[in-house]
This record gives sequence, structure tokens and C-alpha cells, in this order.
Amino acid sequence: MRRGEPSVGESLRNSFQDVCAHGLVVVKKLNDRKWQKKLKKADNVTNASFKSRSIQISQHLKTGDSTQPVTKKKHNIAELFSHCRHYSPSVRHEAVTGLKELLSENPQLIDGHLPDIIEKSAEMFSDKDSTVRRGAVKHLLKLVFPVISEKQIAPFFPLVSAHLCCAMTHINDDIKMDSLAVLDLLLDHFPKLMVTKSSQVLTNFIEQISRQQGQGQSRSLTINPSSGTSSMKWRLLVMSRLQKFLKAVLVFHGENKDVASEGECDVNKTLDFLDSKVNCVQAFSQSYHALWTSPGYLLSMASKVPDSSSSLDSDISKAVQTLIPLMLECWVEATPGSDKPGQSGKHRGQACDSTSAGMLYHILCVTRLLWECVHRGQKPDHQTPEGLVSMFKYQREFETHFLSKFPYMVNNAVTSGKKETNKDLILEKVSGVTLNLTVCDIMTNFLQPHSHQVLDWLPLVIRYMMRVLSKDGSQKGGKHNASLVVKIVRRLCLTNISDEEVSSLVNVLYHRYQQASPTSAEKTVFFGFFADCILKEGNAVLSLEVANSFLSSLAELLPLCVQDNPGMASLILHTLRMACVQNCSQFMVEPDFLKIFCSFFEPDHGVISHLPPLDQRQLIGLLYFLPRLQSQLLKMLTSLCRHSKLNEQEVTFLIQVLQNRYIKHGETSQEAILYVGFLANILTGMPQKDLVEQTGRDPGSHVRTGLQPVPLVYPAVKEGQKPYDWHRHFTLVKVVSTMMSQCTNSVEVFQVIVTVVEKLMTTNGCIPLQAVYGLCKMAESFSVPPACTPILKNACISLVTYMFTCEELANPNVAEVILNTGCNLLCQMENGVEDMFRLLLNTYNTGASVEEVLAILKVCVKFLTMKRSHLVQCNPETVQLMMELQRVMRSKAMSNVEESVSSESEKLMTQFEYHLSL
Amino acid sequence: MAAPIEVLITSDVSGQLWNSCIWDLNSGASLSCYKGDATNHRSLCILGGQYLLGASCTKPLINVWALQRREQHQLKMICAGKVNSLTVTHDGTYCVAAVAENIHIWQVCTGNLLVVLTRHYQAVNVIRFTDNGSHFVSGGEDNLVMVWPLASVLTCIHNPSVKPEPLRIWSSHSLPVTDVHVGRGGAQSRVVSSSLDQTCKIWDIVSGDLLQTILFPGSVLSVTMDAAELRVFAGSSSGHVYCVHLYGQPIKFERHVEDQDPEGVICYKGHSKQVTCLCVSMDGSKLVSGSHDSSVKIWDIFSGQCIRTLPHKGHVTNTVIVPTPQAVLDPAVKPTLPLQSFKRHLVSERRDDTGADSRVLSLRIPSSLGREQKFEENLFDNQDGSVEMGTSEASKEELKRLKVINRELYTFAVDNILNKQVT
Repeated sequence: MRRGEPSVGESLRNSFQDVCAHGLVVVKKLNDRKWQKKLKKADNVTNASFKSRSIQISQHLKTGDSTQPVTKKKHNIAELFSHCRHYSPSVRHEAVTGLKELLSENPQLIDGHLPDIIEKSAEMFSDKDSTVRRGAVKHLLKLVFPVISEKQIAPFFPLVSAHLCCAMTHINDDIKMDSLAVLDLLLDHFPKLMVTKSSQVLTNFIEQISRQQGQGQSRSLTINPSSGTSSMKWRLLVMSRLQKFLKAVLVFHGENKDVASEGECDVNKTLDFLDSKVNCVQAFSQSYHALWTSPGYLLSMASKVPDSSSSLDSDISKAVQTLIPLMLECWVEATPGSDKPGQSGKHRGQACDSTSAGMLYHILCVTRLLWECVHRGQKPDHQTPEGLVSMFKYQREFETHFLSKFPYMVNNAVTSGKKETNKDLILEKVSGVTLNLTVCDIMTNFLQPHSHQVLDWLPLVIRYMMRVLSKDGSQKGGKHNASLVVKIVRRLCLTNISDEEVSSLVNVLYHRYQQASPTSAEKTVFFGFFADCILKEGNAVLSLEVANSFLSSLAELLPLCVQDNPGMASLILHTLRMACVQNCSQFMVEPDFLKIFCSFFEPDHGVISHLPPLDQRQLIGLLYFLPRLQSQLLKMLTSLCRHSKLNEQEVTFLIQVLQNRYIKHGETSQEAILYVGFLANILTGMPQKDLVEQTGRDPGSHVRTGLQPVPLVYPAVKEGQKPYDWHRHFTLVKVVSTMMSQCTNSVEVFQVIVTVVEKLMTTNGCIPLQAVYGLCKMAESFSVPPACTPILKNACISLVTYMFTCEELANPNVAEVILNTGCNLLCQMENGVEDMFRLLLNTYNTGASVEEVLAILKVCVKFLTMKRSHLVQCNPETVQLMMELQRVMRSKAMSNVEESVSSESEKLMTQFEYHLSL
Repeated sequence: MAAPIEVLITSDVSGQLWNSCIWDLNSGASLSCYKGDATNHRSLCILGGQYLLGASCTKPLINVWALQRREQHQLKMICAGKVNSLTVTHDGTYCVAAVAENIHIWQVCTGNLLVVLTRHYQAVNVIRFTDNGSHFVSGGEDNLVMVWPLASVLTCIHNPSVKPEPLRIWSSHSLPVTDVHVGRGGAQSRVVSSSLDQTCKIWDIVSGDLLQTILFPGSVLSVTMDAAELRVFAGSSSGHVYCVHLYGQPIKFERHVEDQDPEGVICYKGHSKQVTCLCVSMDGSKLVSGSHDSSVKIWDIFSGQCIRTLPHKGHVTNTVIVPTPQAVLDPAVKPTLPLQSFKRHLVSERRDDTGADSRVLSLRIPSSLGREQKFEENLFDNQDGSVEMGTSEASKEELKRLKVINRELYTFAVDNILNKQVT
């Protein structure tokens, strides 16, 4: 420490004196009065005054454990959770934003801290501060809900729904409002869980727009004048949520039933049987699966979930009793204009602006959904469910309210700029047609099939439907409207309205269907209607000509929608199949239909090449039901079988289907000829056209040598073409021979095929290698009838000699397979091997060319070497023949063979002798 | 030699040696055979353990033999058309036959044709009952499989306005259904159907669900399960019998890496032509298959070997395994079941002629007790002789007392019901 500067102790003392000076004010004043003169400060006095300034700590300096993820403010998740309950709203809000930041950057945290996240955010549903409340929904839940599954949240759901109910019934209107956002989110992400809580939530929900009057059951609409939004908008909000909720209920209960309807679940339950392994399946019904997969079924499921249909029914009937009166009340308030006396008759076609139309539409939608729920709750036995009973109570009121001003018109044009801003509350613009159709839909629900009650509004509805359908229908929302139309028409058809009305309605609908573009959703919906009409019981609805024209139009429709609308394509195939089965297959005999049907199977660009395998099978299956086969079609099928576009399994299926057809219709000779011809063609391996072309173009390739009693030809691969697919041919031959074994008269069929091939040979002078292979392979598994023996033996010998002498086949495996087949058959046949050598000897003796001599030698050598020597050795006569051959050749060898090949032949000769001596 | 517990009955399409023959499954010995005509596919059945029913291949006839009279000629019943499939309830009360696309149901004891069901669009190929006789399943050329509740079908017969409807219609086969097998459990059983579209499908009657589809390499012409429903056997058109296990892979306590050989049999190979009928012995150890190659083969299920081949003279049409009927063993047993010739017209049409009350549906009550029941009765007598000791007078008094009580009960009930309705 330097001298002259006050020590620390001194400076402290000084500052202390300063501070104390306030306390000594009185003394000082006295002093001032006495001396009036300031004491001069000492030189060494230090100015100890200081200024303070606040320091903002933007980031924590805490280092701590760096492994935990933290926010920018260095809060880790545990701290944020504790902040969520902080008394200060801003801290809570910060905690929410902090959590959002943390979780969006580290999504893996969600899984680990889900209980805390849910608990904390649920508490915030009823937070007093609106920013916190909205923040929790907007930031946290929107982030978390999409990531987690229904199963994950299920254990916390009671907590969530309790908080939600709490918020919904809160005294503070803002909190009530915001609770709807939460409800929205939950309905969007976890509809199933929401349905299980329906009893709590629904009542609270209804509470929001109505008030219970006294102890009785009836409720009435309430208007809260002090609330910020108008009651209309408020109701609209509630209504749209109600709609969502009911949809969720429908979906939930739909699940239980729609599973039974086949189709979608079909695919994932299929087991492909494999020959190579033990195949196991566990076939249990859906309900068992539900037991295994749904959690805690013992208590929670049984007591709380309305999963049995009976409880759904009673639930719905309660909902109907509370909701319908409210809906009607809303309707009365929302309908345009007051009913002036005397004018009511002319009031039809009244216009209403889009706001009220939206309201009306929502009311209608809720009512419609309630109807659907009622129908869903219906049990298969013929009891009338409670829901239906309670619905019918309101029939009178429905009639008076909904139909009094029917049809409605919507004036969408009257929206000024200012109103546009408020428009976001109204969910969508509703067209008048949709509105009116919805009314029709609701009302036609009251129609009871085959009852004789006369409803005075029915003609009105029918007239309206006619008008809608005959109008040109190219609007938006076509699918929704179309499905509504179909529903209404279906109901109308069931009632006892006159036949002309029904038929005219259906005709108009059919016209509409024809006009719709093949790819549109509208077409699909209408298609479904007609398909149902024809295939289900209500066949009487359609007149015969409509039905026929519908069915025969299907064939034209299929190629149009095969690429853009695959769902529709498989629907068409299904319909065709059902129509075939159910004896409405007159359309299938028509030449137009057959022509188109034929073209489906065109290998290059026919419909079949664009279909998925399952639908390919469907299409192939139709062949079974075709009344008559045509040679044209079979030609197409043959080339399809050879074509690489179709899988081998499907090809097998195709041949199998034709086989089954043959077994069924076998007695007609026409069928038999066609089918056997088809088999023979497949066996030939190549189209006759190609063969003719081949032999015509290149006559040298099938020189009839003495070594080949049946001249063989193997078509050379043209440039730019793929090499011949031998594996496919092997499969085809295998399939054909199994099919043949299934025929009752397989021997005759075999004979016919052999003669077909023989004929082929006489006309062309040669047969392709494929055909010979096919014959031999087939003969392997058959007891060859004696009539066919010579030709088969010749074919077999040709095959063997051909395969030994030529190396045209690139693939050695393929060559091996073919050779093995030939040799096997040769051994099977009586004197097979022997005759071959005899042939060799004769050829040689009658003066063979140089090539032939070489070929003979090659055959002999290869026969002795390539693991086939046992065939020769066990047969003494063959050995004799070979010895003789060797002797003859040896004696004449040198004289006959020219110089150029002598060395090669010499080599072969020595090999031959060597093996023979063994 | 102890009597076998179960016997195999087979028939072929030629009928040269016999129409149908009963074999001892273990020894392969022929126990008895029944001659005349030939029996069609899936239409051989045992009626009440006393008669053998078989529908003719070519004529609209059902042939009936009493089981104990071997060499005697059969009784012939004429039907409306050629019968494609025939089956009877387990107790022999009703007989159901498929004639083209119609299903005829007869009551055996009266021979009345109770109802003709026309719901299939094309010929019905197969009909099978559930083990308790409460439902029957039909499968047809129109790709449909239907489940019919017998009771509700029969209640419709006096009410022409109500058309009997099947409980389930399964339509997801894409080609004709060739065979159906119904598992155990009455109305709760599982059904396996096979089809030309190369699939077998397993269904659940209760829920109506499709449980499983199995796609095979060839068309499936016959299907069966063992009694415990551990395996499904499918006879294919290529002559192979495929086996699919209905349980998960067995848990191995030790797992060796080199242990590669598959457990269980995948495929029974031996027939050269399509396998058209299959059945499994009651203990689930033997599989019997009949094929168009004119042979019946008996396989050991676990080793996959063919134990025995029974040569036939034509396409095998039926292989059925039943518990040995008494009549086969003991020719002296007389048939107790009243059997009338089946009528060709519906019973309600007949009413107009005779004036009989059609509302009476006659029921069969077994006229004599079976052997087991008698045995039980004897046991009961021996244990508690005191029942027999009561004198006739005492029992008369008892009867009187009971009658009084009965009357009191009746009046009480009537009063109560009437009073309730009044108030």
C-alpha cells in the first residue's frame, strides 16, 4: 500500500461518517448556525460515492451439468416445470415458451417427460392469464400432440379431460372460449379417446349454449349479452365442434363394424404359402386382438367405454333428446325473415345470406350426424332402438321447421369487404344445393321402408331431386353432394312411391353418371350406387335396360380409369365378377364386350399390364365365368403367358383358371379343342409366326442331318432383343404338365398335344428346341402311350444329340437342364440309349459328312464322360454298339477325314477310346 | 380283436367294387362294404349311427343302406335333381341336400321336405353342419359361403312372407368354393373354406370376420382341420396336401444356430392328381386323403409319411371318419330311427290335400335309450335302491300332493299376470 492514500479502513470510516451525517442533521444545522462556514475538506479525502446500474443477465452463467439440454436462458426442463407454477404470469409464460423451445429442439425429451408436460399444460387450461393459456395450447400442445401416439397419452387422458371440463365450466368466459381450442386439438388428434369421455364432455358442451330449465329435461338456448362475441358466432363455434365430435363418435363405432366388411383388411391377413418353411398363422377374430392390444380392458374399458352397441344406442338417444330441441331452436332463430302470415305459401326459394346459411348448414350437419349415429346404433335384430324412437318424436317439428321454406337459396354474392374479415368464423361457404340436399337427407330418414303412410312433403323432395339431378352438375364439392344424392335416392327407392317416379329418378341419375368424367369422385360414388343396385337384393329398382347398359359400359370404363383411379378399377373388376357369378352375365356374350375384354389381355399395353397383382388375379378370374372362349382370346393369352410383364405366379394362376374351366365345361368339344390347343401352344415355346419367319429366312439353320430324326431349330437371338427367357419356359412347361395330369383323360390330351407338335414339324420342316424340350419334360412324368413312342423317342434323341453338338445356348445351366431332361427320358424309354447309338452307327456307315463325324464323336465322348457312363455300362448291348462304332471309325478314320479337322477328330477319337477302355 | 374306436368310410366314382366301404383305420382292413350305384362328392354321411346315406353321382337319387345289413340292396329316395352335397345333423334329425343352387331340408323321421332355400346364385358345392347341428355352412359355385342358422330357417317354414336369410354371407373368394370345414364349438366355431382361386380362408361365425387368408401355389379342392384346430390341411390340384399350422412357432428352450431343419411337416406329397377329399382322425394323428388318382392314402401327420394306400377304382369322392357305429360291429342291432322316404314337395303344399294342421312341427324323441344311457340308469339303481323301495300307494299319494301343488302354482301365476295387466 502506498502512502498518502487512505487505507481501506479509513475510507470505510469516512463513508460511514457520510452515512451517519443524515442522522446528525440536527447537529449539523446547529453547527451551521454557529459557524456558517464549511470546513475545508482535507486533501486526502477520497470521494467514495458510487453509481449503480442494473445488470441484465440474459444468459445464466451456471455451467453445471452440460449433458442436459437447456434453453437459451440456460434453464433445463426441470426448472421450466417448476416455473410453470410460478405465481407471476410472465414467468409462467416464459416457462411455456421455454418448454416449446426446448422440446422443439430436443423432441426426444417429450417421451421422457410426458407426464410432467401433460400435467403442467393441462393445469394451464384454466390459467387466469390469457397469454399463458393460449401459449400453452398454441405452443405446447400443438407441438406435443402430433408426436405422441394415442396409447402414450391414454393414461393421462382422464387428467386432461378433467382439466378440460373444468375450463369449459369455468365462470370466466374467456377461459370457456379458449377451452374450445383445446377441445379442437384433442378431437383432431385423439378422437377415439375423446369418444370414451363423451359422457362428461358432451354435457359440458351442451351447457355452453343452453341452460337447463328447472329440474325438467328441457333446455333452452341462452344468450349471454355481456360476452364479447355475438351469440350467433358463439353458437356457430360450438356447433362446429359438436359436428366434429359426432364425426369422431361415428368413426369410433364404425370401426367395430366396418372391419367385417371385407376388402381393406384382406390384404394384410394373407399368408403366402411357402414350400420351403413351416407356415404358421394365428387366426383369431378382431375382438381377441382388441383384448391383447387395448390397455386395461378389465376396469376402464368395461365401465367407461361405450363400446357395446346397446350403450351407444342409449347414449345417442339421450343426446338426441337434448340436442334436437336445441337445434330446432337455433334453426328458428337463424332462418331468414320472419314468417309473415299469408305469405308462407309463396315463401319457397327464399334467399339467405351466407352467414346464416353457414349456421343453417351446421345445424343440419349436426342433425344429420345424429341420424347416422342412430342408424349405427341399430342392432341387427329387428328391435327398434331407443335412438330411433326418440328421433321420430320430432318428426312433426322437423317437417314444420325444415321444410317450411324449402328449398333454400344462398346469396353468396352479398359479402362486402368489411364482412369478409368476420368470415373466418364461418368455416366454409355453403352452396344452396348442399344445404337443400342435406335437408332432403334428413327428412328422407323418416321414410320407413314398405310403410303406407302418406307424407305430404315427399313430392316436394322428389321434385327437388329431379331438378338437381337434371341440372348440369359441375360444381365443387361434387363428391359430398353425390354421396348425399345417392343416400337420398336409395331411401326413396325403398319407400312405396310409384314406379314411374323411381324409374325416372334413376334414369336421371344414370344420365348424370354417364356424363361424369371417369376420374372424378362423383363417378365413383354413382358407380357404387348402381353396382349395389344390381348386386344386392334391390334389383327391381333398376330397369333391365339400365342395368344392362351399365354393365356393358363397364368394360369401356375400365381402361379409362385404370391408371388414374386404381380404386375404381378394382371396384369395376369386383362388380364384373359379382355380375358374372350372379347370373346377370348376358352382357358377356355381346360381341362388343368380348372384343374389349379380349384387348384387356394384350401383353404390351392392355389393361392387365397396368393392374396391381391382386387385380390382375381378379381379371384373370373373370375368364372362368366367360360363357364362351374364343380362339382370338386364347391367342392373346398365349402371348401374355410368354410375356415378361406378367409374374410367374399370375401365369400359373391363369393356366389354372383355364384348367378349372376345362374341367367344368369339358364335355363341349369346342372348349376342349381350344384348351388343348392352348396348352400345346404354350409348350411350343414360340409363336408359330416367328417359327415360319425363322425357317423361311434362314433355311440353312435346320438342315436335316442324319443325327436328328426330328429336325430342331433354335431361333437365333435377333439384335436388340432380349435372349429367350428359358426359365419362364421351364415354369410354363412344368405348369402345363401338372395341369395335364389333372385332366381326367390326360392320356388323350397328351396324344393330342404330341400330334399338334408333329403337325408343326410337317408343316415347317422343323420344330423349335423349346417344343421338343416341352414334350420330353412332359413325357417324363407320364406313362407314354404306345402310339406316341416313336415320335417321342426320335424327339428325345434329337434333343440329346443337338445339345451335345451345338453350343448355341449361352447359359450353361439352361443347357444342363435341357440335356438332363433328354437323357432321363432316353433312359426311361425302352431301348432308348441303344437306339441312339444305333442311329449314330448307321449314319456313319451310310457315309457321313465331316461335321457329322465330328458330331458323332462328340456325342460318344460326352456320353462317356459327363457322369452318364453308368447309362452305357449297365446295358451290354449299348456297349457292343459302341465298340463296333469305334472299330468302324478307327478303320476308316484316316481315309475319310480331311486334313483340317483331322487333329481335332484324332483328339476326340483317342478320348473316346480311352473312356471306352475304362 | 378289440373294436376300433373310429372307422373310415370311403367311396369312389366308379362304384365297381362297392359303393362305399368301411375300413379299419389302423389295419387297413375292410370291415364291410355297401354295393350299388356310386356316391357323389361330399355326399356320404352316417345318419344317427344307423344308416348310411349317399347321393348318386349321376341320378337324382339318395341311396340309403341300413348299416348292419351289408349285402342287402339299398333303399332309394328320389329327389328333385342331382344332389351335389348331402349332410345330416349329428343326431340324425334333419337332412340337408344341395340340389343345383337350392338347398333342401328334410325332416328325417317324417320325410317331409320342410324348406327349400334359394339364396345361392349358382350350384352349391358343399354343405357342412356345425358339430352341434345349430348352423350349417354352404359354399357354392358363385364364390359365396353362407352360414344358416337351422332354427331360424325352420321357423320360417309356416310363414311364407318371411324369406329365410343366412346369418352370414362371405363373398371374398374370387372363384368357386370347393370345400368347407367347420371347426369345433357350435355357433362359435371357425370355418375354413377353400376355393379354386388358390386360397383358403378362415372365418369366424360369431363376428363374421375374415380371420385369415392363405394363398397356396395351386387351386385348393379340399380342406380340413384336426379336432384341436392346430393345423389346416389343404388338398391342392397338383396332388400335394399342404399343411398350415394354426399356432405360433414353438418356443425353443435352447436355440442352436446350426439347427436349421424346419419343425413340422409342410407338405404331404404322394398323390399324382388333385386331392378332393381330406379328413383327420379323431386323435389328430392321421390324415386321410382321397384323390382323383384312384387311391386313398393314410398319412402320419407328424412325420409326413404315407402309412397306407387303399386302392380304388375311380376318383375318390368321399373320405369320412366317424366313431364306429354299433351296427357295423354287431349285425344283430336293429335300427331304431324311423326313416321315411324323402318327399319331393314342400310340406305346406301337402296340407291342402290332407287338411292336416301345418302348424305342428313333429319332433323326434329317441324311442329307446342308447346303450350308455341304459348303463347310467343301472348305475343309478344300484347306488340308491331306496327309490325302488317305495310302494305304489306311497307314490300315488306323492303324485296327488304334487298335483295339488301344481294347481296352486298355476292359479297363483294366472292371478298375478292378470292382475298386473289390469293395473
